[in-house]
Amino acid sequence: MEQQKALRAIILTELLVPLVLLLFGIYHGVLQVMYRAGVIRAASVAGIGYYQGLTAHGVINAVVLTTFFAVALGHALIAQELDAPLSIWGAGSSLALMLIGAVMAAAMIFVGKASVLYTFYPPLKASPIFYLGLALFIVGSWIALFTWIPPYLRWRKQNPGKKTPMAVVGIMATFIIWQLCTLPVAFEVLVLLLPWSLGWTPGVNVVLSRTLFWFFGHPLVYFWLLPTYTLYYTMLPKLTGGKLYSDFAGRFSFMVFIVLSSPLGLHHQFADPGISSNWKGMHAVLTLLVAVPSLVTAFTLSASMELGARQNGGTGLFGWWKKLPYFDPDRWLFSYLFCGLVIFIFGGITGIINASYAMNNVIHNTAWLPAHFHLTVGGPVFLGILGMSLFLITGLLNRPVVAPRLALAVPYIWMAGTCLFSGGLFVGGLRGEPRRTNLGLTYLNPESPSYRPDWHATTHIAMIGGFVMALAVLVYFVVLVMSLVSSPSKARTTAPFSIPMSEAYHDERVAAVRNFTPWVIAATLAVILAYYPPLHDIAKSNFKLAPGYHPDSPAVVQPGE
Amino acid sequence: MTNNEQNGRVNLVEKRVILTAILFSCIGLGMISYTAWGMGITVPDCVPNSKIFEHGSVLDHGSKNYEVHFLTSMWRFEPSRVVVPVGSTLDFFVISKDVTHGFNVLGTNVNLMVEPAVVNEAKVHFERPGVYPIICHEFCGEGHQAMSAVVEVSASATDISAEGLPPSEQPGQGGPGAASVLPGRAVMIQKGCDACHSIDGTKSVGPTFKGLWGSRVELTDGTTATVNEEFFEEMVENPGKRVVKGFQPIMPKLPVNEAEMNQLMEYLKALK
Repeated sequence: MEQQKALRAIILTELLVPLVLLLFGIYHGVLQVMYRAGVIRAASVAGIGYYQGLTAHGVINAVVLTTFFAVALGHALIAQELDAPLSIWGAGSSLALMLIGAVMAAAMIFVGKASVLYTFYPPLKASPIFYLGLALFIVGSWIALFTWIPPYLRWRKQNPGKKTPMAVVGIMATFIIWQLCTLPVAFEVLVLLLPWSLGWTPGVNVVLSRTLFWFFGHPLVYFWLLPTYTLYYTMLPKLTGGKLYSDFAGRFSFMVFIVLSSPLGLHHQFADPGISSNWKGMHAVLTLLVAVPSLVTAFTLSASMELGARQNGGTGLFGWWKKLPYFDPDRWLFSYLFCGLVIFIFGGITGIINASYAMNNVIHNTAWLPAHFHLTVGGPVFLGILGMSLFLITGLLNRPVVAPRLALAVPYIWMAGTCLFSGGLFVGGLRGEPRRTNLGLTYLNPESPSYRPDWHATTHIAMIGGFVMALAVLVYFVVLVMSLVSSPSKARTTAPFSIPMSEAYHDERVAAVRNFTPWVIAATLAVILAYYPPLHDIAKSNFKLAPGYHPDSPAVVQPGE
Repeated sequence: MTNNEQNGRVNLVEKRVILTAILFSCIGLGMISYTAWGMGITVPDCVPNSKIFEHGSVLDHGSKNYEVHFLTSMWRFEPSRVVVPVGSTLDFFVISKDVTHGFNVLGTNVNLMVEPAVVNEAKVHFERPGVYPIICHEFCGEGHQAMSAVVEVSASATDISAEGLPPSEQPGQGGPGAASVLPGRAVMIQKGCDACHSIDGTKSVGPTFKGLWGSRVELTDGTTATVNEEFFEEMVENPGKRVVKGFQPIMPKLPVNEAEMNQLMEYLKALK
């Protein structure tokens, strides 16, 4: 990728633009924990409303940052591992569309015309420019996949019988899932919401919109996660000084994710009306099955780290854990991947709880939910993005990482922060604290009739956790900026920059996991089987269409408003 | 570090790990099945839609079984406060007038999404006295954080009472909410009568049921008739034959047995 100057510029833009936006996302994250703890008792701070800022927090952190990173990492890994130039037209137009889309959506959020949160549930209505921006952003990310397919097919032809590099498998799996799951949300946005927000259609089918959204919403979680899984399977073993325990396990996990990440979105709609509990139950079963590749990954990565630790002189049944490079400044990236894994143990367990059908009644839409996903998208995903962005940016610009010890401290500080933040929210959620609610105005305000003193402690613990998380990001940005302004490192000028890739310890040649085609066919069938019945029911039900409402008024929005 | 050379078989340890993971999932599925079918804790299912749910109301089915309809809107619950005796079983029906809302009755397993145009339902038995807040937990606009209601389970109450209901829906004796006419109301919902006949006097596809019983109606053939048992049975059993003036002859013939017919008529009589 270093040979292709234009591609390098594209990758750097895709990494740096969302990091700049992230500054606002983090700033408002800090405000949110203060609003929720009742420390701020206002509807807005510095001209930004709570729900407006919350929308920006979600869109920037969970959609813009993650998608830009996945595309940038994809460009870097595909170009390196297939040793092929990528179409600059393709990569460039993908970047352009994503930038335009992100700017359109962000602009509408900041002028206050899209305070509908990042799930944009109708009949809350946002500006058409917001919906159009989202659509362009998604289409831009599609183009990335199509710039990788021709060099991949060429590579397959030139290397018959050779296994596809693991990094390529991971990235392709990520974007195959993305391609499959963004079709329903593109339909929701372009066919249902955009004409409705323009006033061309009188109403919107709420049940259908929600179902299409969550058809996308859960695979979205795997789209966030799989780039980090790719780093786990390709870089983590090497960073520990070992090898990947089983090559098969990595390929198996990615292929199973392709099949099982989509046909289970109804587990987000257990509490919804208008959908039969039979289909909800079916999706609950499928959700439990998707835990299999994650459990396999947990084992395989631990085994790989053990190989490395024993290589470093570790002994004993558990004693080898002491020999991992936790604080090695030369391998600072290890802490980003390792802490992400530790956090994800709890993210994964709570995810299984959420998906467990009747159990959802206890925690649905409470503070438990943000507690959970700050341990998934806010855990391994976010740390993977921070660490790998720093690695790629400094690598591509040929800068040293100044203060690597400070850099490797970031994940530990973040992990401590999430522990408090999510801990507070978990307990608060079990006590009924609602999510996405400006608690400071009512429930956490002693002057309000709905004041709940029993939510005081948990919201304050979460707030302290939020501060610690923000401190971690602050330290990260100090390291990043210092590295960017430092002079180019001399050591690296001879060897071109490359991303280190692990070898396999057990390199099982299992044909079934070395070909995408059967898995993509299985995925398509699974999606049809899982979504045909509920969508057929919804189509038959003929629900009354809902007119639109702006978040600031109970009055129906008239066409043209 | 030795490397097992390439072969076509999955590493044995890895194979066991996959089987263990599948076993874990199956144990989880067993637990889910037990909570759903063994303990009877389940998730909302489809409920027949009816206009009857489009405003808040409380209905007494007798023996401390109550039906409570909540209408949610930006940013209030209707009713806002419901008081019931200890040992009551409440069947909640919720619908939204505008956007998506949430309905979490703290301290219970009732946790629902509330959406426009589609009814959601959950049932709960209150064994212990106390104050059970109902919290809107889905973002529904700028006033979202102020949207809550309360169920009070009181040791001193002997009957259900509610605040924040429209005047027409106050629980009382002999009205459309009385226990004696509820079976007829259920028939009406089940047969879908209220898709065309309103129960609150608003004009619809067919004549409103409100105040219909005992009134004199003009028919398209020029005659007039009093709405009584004989006339009602004729209208239901042979819909196209005589049509009330000002309406289209489009009423479908629905299978209604004699018991249902009587229950329907009792309900209509109560709709004054």
